[in-house]
Amino acid sequence: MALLTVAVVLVAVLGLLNLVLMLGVIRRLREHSDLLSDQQGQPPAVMLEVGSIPGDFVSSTVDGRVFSRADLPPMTLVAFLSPSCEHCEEQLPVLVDRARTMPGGTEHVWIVVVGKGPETQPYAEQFAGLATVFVEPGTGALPLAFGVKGFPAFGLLDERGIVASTAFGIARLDLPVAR
Amino acid sequence: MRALELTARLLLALVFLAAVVGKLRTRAGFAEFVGSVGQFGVPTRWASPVARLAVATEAAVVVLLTVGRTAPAGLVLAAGLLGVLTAAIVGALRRGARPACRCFGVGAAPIGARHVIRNVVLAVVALLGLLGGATAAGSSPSGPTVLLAVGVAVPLAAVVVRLDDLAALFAPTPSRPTRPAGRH
Repeated sequence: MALLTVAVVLVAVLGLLNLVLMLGVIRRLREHSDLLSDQQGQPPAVMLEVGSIPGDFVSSTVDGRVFSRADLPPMTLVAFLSPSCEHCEEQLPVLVDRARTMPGGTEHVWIVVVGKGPETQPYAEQFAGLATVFVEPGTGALPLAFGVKGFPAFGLLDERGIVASTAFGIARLDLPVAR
Repeated sequence: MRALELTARLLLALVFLAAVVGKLRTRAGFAEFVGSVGQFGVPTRWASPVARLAVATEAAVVVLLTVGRTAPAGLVLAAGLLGVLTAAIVGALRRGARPACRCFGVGAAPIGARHVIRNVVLAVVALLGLLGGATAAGSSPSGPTVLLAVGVAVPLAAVVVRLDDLAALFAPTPSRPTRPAGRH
């Protein structure tokens, strides 16, 4: 009988231990569920966070003008495109359309063509007269200053030069329209 | 039915002990509890004294239940306290308010029907304990009776204290928020 008693007590202790561990696991699982759902709610990062200021840069346009951060006008649409990305091609018609209706005209639309090869030149030429166009490598001053994480990347600076909104699709940007 | 009385005493003592410790363990926990008392319709001026009174009553329940001679008084006080708390919860739900349940200190689950059910079940346990004590023969409980009471009360208390976690486990997972079509 003594053996039976010991066995029952042992099983009970094991069961209690199991319960404690299980409740601990359930609690941790709940924390993880909350963390996961938080992360899912955030859209993927495009470039700098909304509310931040672009870093310092000095860069020259395709027609030889030099711009630094001080020359970045407020209320500017900044687009980063790469000749090698298909999604950029899809966005081009909308981008051209938006660039035409942007208040302030070409000064307030900056298009940065990111790439190294010879294909960047013809790609950049299609925006002539439409925007301030730059050609830079992926490690160039402008992509670094804006912290670009993928292409295409569109950003809008507000009247204080702070990033107001960012998107991978230009249709998602809240753009002002010239009247 | 000495075993019934013992089980009820132990279960309620553990649950109220967890409530007191949970609320008083961190200063922030108690502050949050005071805040939640305010959301139950208690005027802000009275929130702090009422919160203190609630915690003091819970502690008194624990002390009364652990001593054999005062156990009936402890069971009556526990039932009364549970009644008051349940009335507060039902009142808040009626008004459409869903303050967080700070029953065991931390925890952010909004109050709901399950807290009402939980408190009612605990109150019934207290009454059953009183019944068991009234019909108990003999003065001191035997060894096996104590073991049985511990074996039943401890797991049940653990489940009651962690009820919100368990409810979250069996609740449907929150639907995935629609991801923005990043490429379009």
